[in-house]
Amino acid sequence: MSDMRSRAGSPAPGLDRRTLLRGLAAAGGLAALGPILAACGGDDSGDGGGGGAPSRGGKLTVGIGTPLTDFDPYNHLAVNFPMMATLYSYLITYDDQYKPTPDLAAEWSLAADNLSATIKLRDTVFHDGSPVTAQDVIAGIKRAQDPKTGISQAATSSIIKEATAGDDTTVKLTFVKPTAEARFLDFMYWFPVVQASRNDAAKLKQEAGGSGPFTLSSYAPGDRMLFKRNEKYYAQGRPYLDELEIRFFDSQDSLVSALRAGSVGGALALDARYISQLQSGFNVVKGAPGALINLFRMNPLKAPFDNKLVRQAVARAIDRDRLIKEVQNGVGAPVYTSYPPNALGFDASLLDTFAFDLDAAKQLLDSSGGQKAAVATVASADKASVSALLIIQEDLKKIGFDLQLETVDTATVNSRYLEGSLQCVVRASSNAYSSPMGVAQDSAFRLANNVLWKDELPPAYVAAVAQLDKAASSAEVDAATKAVSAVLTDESWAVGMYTVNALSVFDKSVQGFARNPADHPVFTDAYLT
Amino acid sequence: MSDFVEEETRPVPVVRRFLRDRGALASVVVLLLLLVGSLLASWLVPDKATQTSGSLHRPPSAGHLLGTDELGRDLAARLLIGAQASVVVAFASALLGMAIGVAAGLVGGYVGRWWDSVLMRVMDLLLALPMVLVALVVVVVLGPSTLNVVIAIAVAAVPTFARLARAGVLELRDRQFVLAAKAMGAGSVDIMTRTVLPNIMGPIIVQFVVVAASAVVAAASLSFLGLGVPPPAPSWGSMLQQSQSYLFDNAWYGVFPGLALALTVLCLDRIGVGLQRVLGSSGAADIAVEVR
Amino acid sequence: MTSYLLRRLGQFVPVLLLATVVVWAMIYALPGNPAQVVGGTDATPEQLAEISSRMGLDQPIWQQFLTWLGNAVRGDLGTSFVSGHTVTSLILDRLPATVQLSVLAMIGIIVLAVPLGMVSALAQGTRLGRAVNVVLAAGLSIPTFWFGILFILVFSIYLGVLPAASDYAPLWSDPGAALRGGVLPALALALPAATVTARFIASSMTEVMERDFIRTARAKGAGEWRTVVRHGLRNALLPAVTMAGLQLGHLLGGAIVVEVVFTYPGLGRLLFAALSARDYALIQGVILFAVAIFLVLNVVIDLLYAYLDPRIRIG
Repeated sequence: MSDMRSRAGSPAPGLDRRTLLRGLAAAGGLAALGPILAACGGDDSGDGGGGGAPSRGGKLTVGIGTPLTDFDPYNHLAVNFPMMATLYSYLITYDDQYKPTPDLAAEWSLAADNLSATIKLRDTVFHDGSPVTAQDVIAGIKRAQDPKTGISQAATSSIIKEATAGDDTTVKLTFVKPTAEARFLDFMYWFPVVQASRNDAAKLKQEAGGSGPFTLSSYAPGDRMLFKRNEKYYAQGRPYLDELEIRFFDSQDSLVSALRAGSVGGALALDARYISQLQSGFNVVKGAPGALINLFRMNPLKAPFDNKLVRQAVARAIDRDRLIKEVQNGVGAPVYTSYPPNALGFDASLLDTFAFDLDAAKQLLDSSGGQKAAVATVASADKASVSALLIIQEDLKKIGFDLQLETVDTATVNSRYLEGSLQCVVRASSNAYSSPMGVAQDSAFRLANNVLWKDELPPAYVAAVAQLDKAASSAEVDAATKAVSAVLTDESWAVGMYTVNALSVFDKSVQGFARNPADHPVFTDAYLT
Repeated sequence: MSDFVEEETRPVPVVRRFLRDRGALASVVVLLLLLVGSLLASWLVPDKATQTSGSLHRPPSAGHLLGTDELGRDLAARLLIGAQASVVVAFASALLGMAIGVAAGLVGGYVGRWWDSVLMRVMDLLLALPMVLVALVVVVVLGPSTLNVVIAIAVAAVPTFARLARAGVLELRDRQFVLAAKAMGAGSVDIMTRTVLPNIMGPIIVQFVVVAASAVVAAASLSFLGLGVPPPAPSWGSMLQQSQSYLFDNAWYGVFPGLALALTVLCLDRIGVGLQRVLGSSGAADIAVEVR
Repeated sequence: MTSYLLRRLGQFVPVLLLATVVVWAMIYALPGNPAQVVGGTDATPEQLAEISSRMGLDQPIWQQFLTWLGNAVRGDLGTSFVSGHTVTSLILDRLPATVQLSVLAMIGIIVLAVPLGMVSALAQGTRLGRAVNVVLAAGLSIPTFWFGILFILVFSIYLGVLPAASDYAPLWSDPGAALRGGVLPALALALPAATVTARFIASSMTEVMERDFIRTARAKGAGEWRTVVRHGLRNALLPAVTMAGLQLGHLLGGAIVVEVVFTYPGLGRLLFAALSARDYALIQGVILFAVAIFLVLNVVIDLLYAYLDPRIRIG
């Protein structure tokens, strides 16, 4: 351990933004607060009951507009968000500034050479009473690194060369190369600890295997799921709720009606357009900026978007301010790439340099010599994206570009996106990462199996990402991130529009709800007044 | 039944008697006015229905007679121009459903034997299949368009037309004038289309109007499920569907498309009732197309 | 009679078989597959292949179909690709809710249609008759989902007396909760169907009231009310039975639009979600079930018809 910095030590020079080690002692009582984040009522000052001590007990029913498909936390689908931080604990958690807080990792340390790390696990048990051990984490990493089964964990786990157990609750990691601290933290943040004996996609279809604040009590596919308090949860006295029920709705409209009628106590993942009718009378929690960023994605292998100038022209014709005002009801921040404003890679100057400018767009379009028509495919259920596309369509018409809309169902959009047969689409990307490398997780930005480019990624982008991948010191990370942003802006195949900031809305009697930077709902501290 | 066969051979009194029905006549006039207004609107202000204005969710005012929607588009223009989509869907789907259904019914009823069995089993199937599945497949596979909404609704309308036509044929097949035509050496196709068909048209025409009326409602229901006419083209169904998100922001939004839709269906329905009286068919034609 | 029944049942087999083939062809024509839905768009081709093979989607389509058909004949409808639960258990879970909703809706249809139909027929030409006709036309001209949304707006949001998201509770164990959850969706289903049925009753009533036996009954000095109910209505209801039976057949197969509007846990929403998720086995199972129910009800109606109207002999 001599080569490791002790956890009481000061952060190493060069690690500027975030201090490395979160003291367990400091967290002693607070650790359990886990995801502190945007607590309920954050936008409304002094609502009733907020000041009093949380009361224990009761049942909370919340709704969501899409049904769950899985209990597998490795499968990071938005429809499965409600169960993730409910059934599972992760190694650490972040606040909105990506400051780490212990979850199942009580302490951790990164070696001075950035080539290895040690994680000390909390002494706690899974829902079935068996202890959480280093072996569970090691088995989990093994699954994450198997290209067939790793799904969403594959990318963040790719930094790890080997995982071994120090003792029952100590995991030692060695990395494939010197690794920036942020990427180690990202790995821990995104790593759900699943019981080794259940950590299998087929098993996790019907039952969970976590140690999170709630246990699964019953599940009616397509209709609802019921959770009970995990009496063995590591944080004393938490969670407060006896029961938590999540009902699935078929549309956000019917969910909002149910919320207004009091049929549910809360609504998760609502579009921002509902804010005007819900902000008075309800507790509104806005989603994290990095959880969902809406991008206008163009297929660079299909005309007319195989022409870089056409893509750049479209990028200049996207009126972010208007989209935020009209589609998002004022919620959200403009972005140019897929970095959210609170991320390390965010470069606000891009918004000025490449601001909405129809004259510039027209010039680019005319000089491109490309065909001036395309079809945008969009899910009819995604009303916000339909609205956004209608606005973009109108602006593109002004520069002589004819964008037609094709509305189909969600599964069709996804399928055509995957097979690369559509021309352009509005799709959100998740970029809740501390490290700017997080950008390369998305299907349109990753180097291997890139959905839009297939094997023909622009060499400049590949080189820039490789540089970022190598960067370990913060100066290197900073320079490499700027280079990536520059290529993204130049190639413009997936143009950032705005942060989505989906809303979680609750009755005034519901307090203490939080969400983490990836927008997983956190009910650990939720209570009823 | 025999008077009605005679009526059919003299169409003028039928039209005259229909026009004497004031309610039905008024309905025809209202529908024509709506259609003319709609065509005029798309000729005079073609872009008004899709143009955004930046002033969102405005209540009715002098500038926007029925207010604006979530993108600041003029609701009056969308309502008026949206009438075309409803009228097209109503008549095209009824026409398509009638063409296929009547053909199947004629063949099944006249030719009989295994043709009849097979066709009627197919009709049983069409009647039993959920329309949403049919619509989803048509819209997703063929792409969203007004035409494909028409196809989806027409498929659901086929069985009733087929059953009506078949019942009519079975009744006439052994009548003297049909046998006479056969004796004179007319071919099967000729007998079916020129001898039998004109004499069974009464209930089928009534059914045509009934289907047209219910197609307007069905198209709106498909819009509600996200399977309607694609944006930005206005349609009443999609306006109703959109308005659902803004029941509290903009109560006006859903009122007028709902009223326009109801008025159109009422008129079509009244015309159907008028035709039923004139053509003397009983209420047997009242099975409508319904999105299930 | 027996031979009729056998013949009708014999017609089921080809229709059901045709249904399975058609439904299979239709759902495979849809872009997207359950592996993509479960894996999401960030899954790599390798991972999607792994999920597909777990679901058995890597086999040729005809082989998947034959395997499914072979199991279905033995009563095994397969497993939902999305939830991993068996299709049979998913259908049986939702069936009570759908049956109850159908029964409530049928009660609504009868309660609304019989009086409206009678008044429309007997009060022809009067103001009352015209008013009823307008009501009947209005019932047809408002889409079901719009009725649903208006009901929720009025009864759930403004008045706050009924839930906007309907729960299912069995009528016999908790009638209060059953009615709270079922009355609005049942009413939204019943309104358009009742207007159709009412017209049906009205037109056959008009026809019946002109028949000889009604004149005889009147001549014998039977009261008008007695004549209408005992002789007129009874005979006029016969054709309406067919109509109502067809409607019940459709209701039992699940009412997608109304269940979606009220978030009611019946077969319609099960099918809707299965379609959205391309859950092949579940789509196939629910539709097969709905088609079978529909066909069986058709036979039941025919038998009922023969029983009610002795003039009809089925041979």
